[in-house]
This record gives sequence, C-alpha cells and structure tokens, in this order.
Amino acid sequence: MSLSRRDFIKRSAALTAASYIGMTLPGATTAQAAEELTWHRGSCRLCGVGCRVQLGVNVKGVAVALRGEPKSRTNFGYLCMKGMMFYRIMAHPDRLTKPLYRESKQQPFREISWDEALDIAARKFAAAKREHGPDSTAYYGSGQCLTEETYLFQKIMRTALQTNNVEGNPRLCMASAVGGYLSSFGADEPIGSYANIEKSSCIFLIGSNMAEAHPVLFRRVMRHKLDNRDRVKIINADPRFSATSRIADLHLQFKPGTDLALLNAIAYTIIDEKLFDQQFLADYATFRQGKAEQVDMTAYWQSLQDYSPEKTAAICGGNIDAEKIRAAARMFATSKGSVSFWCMGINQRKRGVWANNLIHNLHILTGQLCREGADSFSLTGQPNACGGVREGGGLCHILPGHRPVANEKLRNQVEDAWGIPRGRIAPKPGAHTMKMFQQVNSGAIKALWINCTSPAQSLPNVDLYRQGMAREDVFIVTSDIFPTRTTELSNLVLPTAFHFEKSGVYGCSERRSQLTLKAVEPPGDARPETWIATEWCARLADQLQDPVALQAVKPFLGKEMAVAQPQAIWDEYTQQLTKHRDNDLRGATYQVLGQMADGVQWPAPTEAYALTGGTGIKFVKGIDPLASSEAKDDKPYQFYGPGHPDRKLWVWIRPQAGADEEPDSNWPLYLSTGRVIDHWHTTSMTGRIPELMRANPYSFVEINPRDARQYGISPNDMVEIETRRGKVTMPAKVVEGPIVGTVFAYWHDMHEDRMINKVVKDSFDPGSKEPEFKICACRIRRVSGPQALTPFVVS
Amino acid sequence: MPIASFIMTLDRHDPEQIIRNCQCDSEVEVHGLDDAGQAVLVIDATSSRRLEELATRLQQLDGVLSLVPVYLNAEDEIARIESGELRPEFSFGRKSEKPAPLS
Repeated sequence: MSLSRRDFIKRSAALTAASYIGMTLPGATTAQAAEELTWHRGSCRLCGVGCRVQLGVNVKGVAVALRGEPKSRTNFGYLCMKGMMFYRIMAHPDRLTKPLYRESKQQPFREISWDEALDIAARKFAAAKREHGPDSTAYYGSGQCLTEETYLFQKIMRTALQTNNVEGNPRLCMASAVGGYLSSFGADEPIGSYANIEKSSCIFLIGSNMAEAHPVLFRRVMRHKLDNRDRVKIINADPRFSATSRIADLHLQFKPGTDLALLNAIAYTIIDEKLFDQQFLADYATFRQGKAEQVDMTAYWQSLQDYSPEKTAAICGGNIDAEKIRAAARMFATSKGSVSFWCMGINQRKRGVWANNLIHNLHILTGQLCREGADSFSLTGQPNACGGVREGGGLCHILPGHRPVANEKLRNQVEDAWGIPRGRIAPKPGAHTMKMFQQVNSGAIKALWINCTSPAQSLPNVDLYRQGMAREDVFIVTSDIFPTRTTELSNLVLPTAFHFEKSGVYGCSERRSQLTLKAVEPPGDARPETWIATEWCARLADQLQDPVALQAVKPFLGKEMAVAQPQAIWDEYTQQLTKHRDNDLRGATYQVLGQMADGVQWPAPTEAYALTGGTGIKFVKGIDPLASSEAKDDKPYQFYGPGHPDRKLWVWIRPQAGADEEPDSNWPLYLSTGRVIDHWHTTSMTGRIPELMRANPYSFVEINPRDARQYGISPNDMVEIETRRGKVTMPAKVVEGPIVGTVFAYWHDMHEDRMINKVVKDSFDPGSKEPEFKICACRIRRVSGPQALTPFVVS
Repeated sequence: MPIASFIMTLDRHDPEQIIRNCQCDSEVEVHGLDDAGQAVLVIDATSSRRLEELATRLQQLDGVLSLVPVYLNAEDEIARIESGELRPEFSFGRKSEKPAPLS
C-alpha cells in the first residue's frame, strides 16, 4: 500500500468518526473518493441490539473494511469491538466449505457432493417419519438464522414432516420474556424503543450486564447519564457488581434468587407511599393471580404484606436495606420517565416469567408505559431471536405471526395461506428444547436438524444431552459455518453462507426488521440455508411420495438463491402470515427495507407507513396504526394484543420463589454464569478472532475476596467448581464482583475442562420452559497455583 | 496494516491532558475534541495485535470513560490471509474426525 493511500484511509477513518458526533474536519471529498471500496449496508451479526453497519468490499469482491451506519437509530454509527471484527471471520481458513458425512459417528468425515448430502438428509428424515412417526423428527434452530430461514424450516417441518418439533436456542435465553409480555401485556415484545433511553429520567437495569453484553446500547445509557448527571438516575440491581454497576446511582446487590422479593418490595413501597397512578390503573389494568383469576387491588396489596422493605431486606441480604428499597421505588415511580432493561439474569430463572411479570407490575402501577421515556424492555441476546424465532414461528407452540398452534382457527389460517389441506398441521405443540433433547436421549427422536447453533455446548447439564446426541440411532444434520462441539456429534455437516454472503432480514429487540443483502461470495461450496432447505424438502417430498410435502417449498424452488429466493419467502411470510396480526409487516417489503438505513418497526401494515420507520411505541393512538384500527373505545391507549381478551394490562400476584437448587452444607455456594465483552456465546466465531481471543483466552471464575480467603484461593490459582452434575476447572479471578457466597463463571469457553454448562442445572421454568442457567449450588476447591493454559476452539 | 477510528469519551475535568497522554504513541492520532468531551482518534497500527494493544492501553488511561470503534480497514492483512502469507492465530484447520470423549 502506498503512503498516500494509507493517508487517505486514515483521513477517511477520521472523517467517519467525526461525522458521527457532528464534528467538522476538512478534506472529506478527497478522502472518501480515494477509498475504492463499495459499501454495503447491513446488520451486525453478534448480539440482539441490531446495530447497522456498512461492509467495505474491494474490487476483488473481498470484505476488507467495516464502519457503523450513521443514520441508524439503533447505534448511530457506533460499534463495539466484537461488531467491528466480525467480518474478519469470513475469510477464516476454518470455514466449512464442503458437505461432510459419516454413517457412524465413530467414523471420520468424508467430503461429499451437495446432491449426495441432500439425498442422505431426505432419506434419513423420510425413513424416521415412516418408521417412527412424524414426531421422531425435529428441527433445532437459532436466533442467528435469518427470518426467511427460520420461517422456511418451520414450514417444512410442519407441512412435510407434520411435526411441531420446531425449536430454537432462543428458548434458552428469552422464552421467559415472551411469557412475561404475553401474560402482563397480552402481546409479545416491548411496547417502546431504544429511543426511550434519551428521553428517560430513571433507568432500572436488573439482571443485565449491559456494559458487556450490549455495549453499544450501554453507551447510549452512559452518554445520557453523563449529559444529565443530576437529572437522570440509574438503578442497577444485580448480585454481581459488574461493569454496568459502575454508572449506577444506586446498586442493589442481593442474594441470588431473591429478585422476586425485591421487585415485590419496590411495588409495596409504590403503593404504601401512594406513588401509583390511580387513573392509569383504573383505565388500563386488572389484577390477577394463579392462572389468571381476577382479583382486586386490595387482594394485591394484601399479597405484598410479606414484602415490606424491612422484611425484604432480610430476605435479600447483600447490601440491601429498607431505605435502599424505598429509594429505588421513589426514583422509579416519581421520575418523568422510567425505563427498565433486563436480560438473562431475569429470564434464565426457574421463575423467569414471574420475574418478568413483577418488573412489568412496576410499570403498570406507575403508568410508566406508552409514553416517551417510559418502557419495560427485555433485551435480547441474538440478532434475530425476536424477528425470526418469536415472530416467524420458530418455537414448538407458535406458528408464524404469533399464532398458538393449539388454536384451530389460527392453524387453519396458516394452512390456507400455505395452500395445504386443513388438518395438515398437527394440533399438538411439539417438544420444547429441553424435552426435545430428553427425547434425543431416549431415542424417541431419530432425525434432528440443528441449524446455526451448538447445543452440545449451550445446553445446561450438557454432558447428559451430549450422550443422547452421540447415539448411533439418532441421525444429526448440522448446518453451520465452523466446526463446533455439535458438529463433532453429527452425521452430516453442511457448510452454510455467512452474514453478507446471503440475503435476509433480522428483527432486533425493538421490533425492528432490517435487511442485509448479499455483498460477497461464500467460500467453497457453502450455500444459503434457504437453498439448502428448499432442495432438501423437494427430495423429502419425493422420498415420502407426498405432493403436499412439496407444497412447502414449491413457491421457492428454482429461484435465484442470492436474493430472489429469500425475497419470495419473506413476501409469503409478511404478506400472508402477518396480515392483521400484531406484528403486521406487510409494509416492510424488500424494496422498503432496502431504502431504510435502519429498517422498520412493526406494526407496519402499508409500505407508505413503513417508509416512515414504523411504530416506535405500540398501543398508542396516533403513533401505532393498529391502536386506531383496533380501537374499542375512545381512550388513547388500546391494548389490542392477542393474549388478553379484556384488552387490559395485568398486574400479577407472584410470590418470592428461590432457585431450584439452593446451597446447603455440602454445596455451600451459588454458581452463576454470564458473558464477557470480548466473546459471544460458544466462541465458535469470536474464538477465531485473535484480538478478541487474546483479550479473554479462556474462562475465569470470579470469586469474592472474602470467599477466596476462606478457601485459600489466590488470583489465577486453578479452581475446581463442582456441582451435583460434574466438575470443571478454571483460573480464579479474585474480585469484588460477585456477592459473598457466590462464584461467577464465563460460559463461552469450549474446552472440555472449562465448559461451565457441564455443571449448570437443567431445571426450567414451568411456564416458559427456559432453563435456570443463572443459579445452582456448587462447591469449590483450590487445585493448584497458576497454570499455563491454551485457548481452544473446536477445529 | 489495520487502520481504525474511534470515538473516545473523556472525563471533562482535564481533557487536554488526557489527549496528551493518548498521543504518547506515534501510531495514535487525535483528530479533534469537542465540548462534550468526545475525541476522534485514529490508530494506524503495524498489526491487528498492535491495534488491540493500543486500544486496550487507551481504554485504561485515567479519565477515559469509553473508547468506541466506528471504522476498521484491514485490507492489507486480509490480502495476506487470502494469499496464505498470514495465518490467523487460533486457526487450527479442520480435523474433526471423532466425537470428543465425554467426561
């Protein structure tokens, strides 16, 4: 590279950054003209925030640069280190580039052709259906699949294989949020948008280390606080003092599993000090208990008597005292706008749905909803858990467009839209994730397709389920871009195109659908999943000699795979399956999405409306078009969601409920797990980016200094963490992070010795079926002093 | 090798001193500082490893509240990877033949 070209690139880099903060630097035209790159707009791949990026592709068609999209209302051009680096794995030599097959899982893989691979997959799934019934087949997808992929796979499973065994890894991370939204608001997904951050006066962060898990969003919170130091209050509730806690005005550190009591105590104070919004409650709320039995506010108040601040401080321990609870309640209730954010710390609990309900309760009681600066917002970990899996029918109990599969009328709507006979879709929900892998263990499931995820690392108590996946009588197809712990247990491994190597839509946490078009060629024989699924289903229909099975993919067969095929799938989904549903996306066509820097928020029933950006706040007349078209009275808010026939918000009576496995004399400590800023999920991608891997090359276990002293552990000592399910060993980080009596381990590491999900408990919420990753009982012991460790990814 | 730009948010007490500390290394250029305590930095590093080292050092400076990347151009490095001249660290090549033993 010539000196002048480096200077031009540096100048361009500076101008890009300056433009994001409104700073003027001279020389823009010259520098930008010299770049010689084509910039392709798309979404980031590595979390649920939905940051928009521009991928710089050189004249050879190689991705060589990345920058933030300044017109995006999610990130305003800002990125995080993960996001900035993700495109560098495109050209990584570990990429899967050929279909691989082995009859027995004890054999080595051999490269085969796509024809052979698709024939094998079709033969195996058809045989399983014929010999063992439809429910012997299953699909396990991902919140990282494009919506078109999730939609198509679930359509094939329900139409061709006639099973509702359709699941995805979002069951492991946000199913409790779905349950919470449906039971509290009658409709899934947040009411508002990220834009509420800058309009809020109080931000309540609970069960979320936003600084590391959603860093670009956290920057917005931090910036808002810095610009309004006295006016904006931040409350952080977490048993661990994390990077997020550092900006808090009030950090509530409580004993793990006492969050429900804490939330009830805040509600107690709101009522006790008459900080609730009487009119909002009268107009828009009812009170519920049990399985939705209606009660009155007196009964609700009565239920809170066990949660006075004084009583609750004794339950919660940590740094909680009665005055802190009252202070939090006053900050929350009296602010001009309060926004709550939470994530896995709330959702991954044995009573995750209840915990969600109790956060929503605070907002309903105080009327902190449906207006600028006020919202109750569950963050999402993956880029398309909302858009693809929650909205596109990617779970065992829901069809596309938020339709429960058990509802015959809604099932018939889908069958009619797909042009298949009524009664073709099985009425009974399929196996949820944990049940699915239990059935793999028992051998009831004979053919399993795993797409873009690695359950052999991400399931709780994972060794138990790896035994099932290793069975020779369970045929496993895995489609992915890199080898993982799951490809190790597969018969057939299919190489897929990565982000920007194919086209499709991601829907992020704030109901925002964003299109990414193909910008570079995938390596080798890697192909888009929509092409793979279409071709597989055609062969499956042939094997089954079932013309109805073919109907699942008939509209998409033979279409050009880069854009035309995913566009046809998106059109079918949005135009036919979201019509008159709460996630109406008919206006968000590829043409419209292609014009929008940051996509469209649903509901967006027409193209003209979608071109305005869609709906920033649901349920508000004048903002949400459905609030007007679905209005039943003259009130400004219309809660038209499908879950509540009374069209009200429900305040729930939910008692304190601890973890499924509490410490005792043999297992005296809590074990909690979580994320670090440099890595994402199983490190199959971030583990291959040297800059990220070097920053956090392996898991640590964080131990409070008081616990470390008690157990004779010094920094970097090797520590064994043992639970009733097994043992792992990793270095110690002695830090005032976790509350005394709790150890905290990073979950990303895929090394056998350090894979923390081997010891995490696989109990799950009875409503959402989401596992309780966040809490179990353990014991620890020092194994040795510091040891040299080697970073590891499966290869 | 890689060129990246960042927006740095500074403590407002003495931003000029923080900027001087940032410029201790010739690979770091500061292109501007605004009244809100936000600075535009460009790092022109000899390698990705060096870029990471510099970014880490900058983040740890007293008074630096955040360092947010917005632009990365790594065309030289990617060309070397494509040509086989440079192999990324933590690349092991595909060799999955057997399932991992279960503990």
